[in-house]
Amino acid sequence: MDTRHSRPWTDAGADAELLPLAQSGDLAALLRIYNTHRLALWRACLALTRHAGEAERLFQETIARATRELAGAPAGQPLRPWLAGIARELEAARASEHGPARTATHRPNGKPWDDGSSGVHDTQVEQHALQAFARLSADDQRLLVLRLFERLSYEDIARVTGLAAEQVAQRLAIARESIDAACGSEENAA
Amino acid sequence: MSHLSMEELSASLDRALTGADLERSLAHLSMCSRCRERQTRLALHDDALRRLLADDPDDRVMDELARRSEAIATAIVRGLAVPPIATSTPLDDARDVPRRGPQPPARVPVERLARFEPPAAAAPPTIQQDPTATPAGAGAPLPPPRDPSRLLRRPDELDPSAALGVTPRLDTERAAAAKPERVPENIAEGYDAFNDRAYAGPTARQLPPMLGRPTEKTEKKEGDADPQSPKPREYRHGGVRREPVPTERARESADRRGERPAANDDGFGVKRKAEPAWSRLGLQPDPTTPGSFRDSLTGASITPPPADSRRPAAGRSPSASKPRSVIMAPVLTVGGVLAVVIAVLLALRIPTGARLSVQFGRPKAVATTPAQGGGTVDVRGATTPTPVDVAVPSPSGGAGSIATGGTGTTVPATTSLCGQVVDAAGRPLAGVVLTVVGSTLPARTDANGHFCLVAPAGARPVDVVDPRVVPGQGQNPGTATRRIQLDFVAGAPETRVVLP
Repeated sequence: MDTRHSRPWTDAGADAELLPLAQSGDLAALLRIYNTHRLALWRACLALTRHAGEAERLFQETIARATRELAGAPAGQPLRPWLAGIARELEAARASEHGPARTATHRPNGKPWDDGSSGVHDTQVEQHALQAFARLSADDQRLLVLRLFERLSYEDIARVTGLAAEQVAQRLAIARESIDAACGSEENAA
Repeated sequence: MSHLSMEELSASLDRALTGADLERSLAHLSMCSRCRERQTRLALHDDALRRLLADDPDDRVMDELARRSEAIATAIVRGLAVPPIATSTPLDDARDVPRRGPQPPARVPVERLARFEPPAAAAPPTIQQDPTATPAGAGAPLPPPRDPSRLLRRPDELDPSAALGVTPRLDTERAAAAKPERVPENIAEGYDAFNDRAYAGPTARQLPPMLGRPTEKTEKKEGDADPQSPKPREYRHGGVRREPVPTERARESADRRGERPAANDDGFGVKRKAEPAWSRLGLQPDPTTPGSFRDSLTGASITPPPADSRRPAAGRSPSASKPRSVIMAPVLTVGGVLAVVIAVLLALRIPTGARLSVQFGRPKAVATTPAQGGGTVDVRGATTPTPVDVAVPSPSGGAGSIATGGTGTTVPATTSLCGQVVDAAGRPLAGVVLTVVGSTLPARTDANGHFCLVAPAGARPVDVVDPRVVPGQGQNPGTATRRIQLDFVAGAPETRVVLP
């Protein structure tokens, strides 16, 4: 199991030292915290919105809210789950008010889907997987992100999400089954 | 035959199965094409999602995002107006319309930075280009220049009280007094106004972290106005960067090159007159004896020794007259070679005391029969790969295991071992799963029975799952997994595993 990425999600690391400084008004410490978790937060935002532009907006809104609610940040604990949780709450609130974001018409890096950079079949699989991913619940999306991208073990995912490891395994299986079924129906329809 | 459940397939993909569950899933997957196809499909979807999630935006976009988030955090911490949110890619227009409830007022046009070429159909008509954005590529057109009145403007320059020497106030008060709040019409104006008011960039040292009031260190820097320190550069985003101040060593180096005034310079470009050596020793030239000196205190006459005898008397070796670089060059060369050798040894993870044997000339293959060699076949030095048979013990016990040999060079790095699995009649067996004990990367034989395993060098136990044996069925109601011993040696020939 590749656990290189698991430390910031499960271990407080430098967050435990920087957070008190940031809470006492040290702006440099606060910016260092954000810089540490910048890319992971972007990926979480992208997974939640499935839309590059919406992900950028969610990213900035998350930073703003996290800065305002810095006093309530969990002391001595890793801040990455806390930031991802804020992003998830913000996106859930926006989705309940405005509806979920539509599937992006282009890749997160701005390139269109049919730019020829990948094979046609891969592009179709990606689109189908993305659409199926968008239909999952936010919790299941988060589980898949933690597992597929952050490569956390079931135990680490359980620590991050508060679920039991067995529940993580079950929900990941259900999420994968949903994606498989949706992709199968999409391919049949195509 | 019951198929693997989705939970088992999912856990198998995540390599979360262990022990008997792992054995069962591997054995089943080796037999069941339906489950294999399903697992392959799941892996394909996983890869697609992983690619999608890993499709991180361009570094410039991430930098811009980081800059904007830092500006937001800075503004909130300092109690200033939060800069408006801007994105590099278009937003989802449909999400700005609530599904229920009253319709909102006319929305503010979405600002967009000129980072990417807009998609043909996706670009909404309200999107504008931000003139502050940097072009996406070298060939992209440069944005129009900003308003010159906004360039190179610092927060304290906006405050007339700063020039009058009035006691500085907090940024919030200063900004409020400088100009009234005005709602920016677009993102560029809003961001410029924000920069002008307070934000000095993430690396700026001019403003303190919290209060916007110069710290003691900053005040000292600004007040000293060292003429030798370079002039600070100011950027459009308000950040200030000072050029590095040369160190003392760099100044000495410049002295030697003649780029700076010499050490005896009085600082105003006038060199002090060089003082002769006899003057510094308190001597005076003897007017009666040319070439001699007289001690100004005792009056004794002193005759300096000949010039050729001075150097040895000073205790310096003849080599000391050589330039230092001539002496240090070979020393540095030898040290560099040693460092490279140590780095290579560390990279190869050769333990201390390990012996590397390099054999020149035509190597000879040394082979011993199992009876002679205690059940091993030594292929050390063989140039032509020779298939080596490995007999797998039958579940009821039978022939002893025979492992490949080949321990000529001790290199404990990861090595690959390829071979073929055949049955007792010599026919290749497909679908046999071989797993090095302790590893989670099994290998499966192809239609010709070929496989390749990767493991650290040395003898390793390997579990072999025979697809022909169904646990609990047939004449062999044991397990389908048998354990053999394989030697992982770099350059070993192809290994043949015989499953009875």
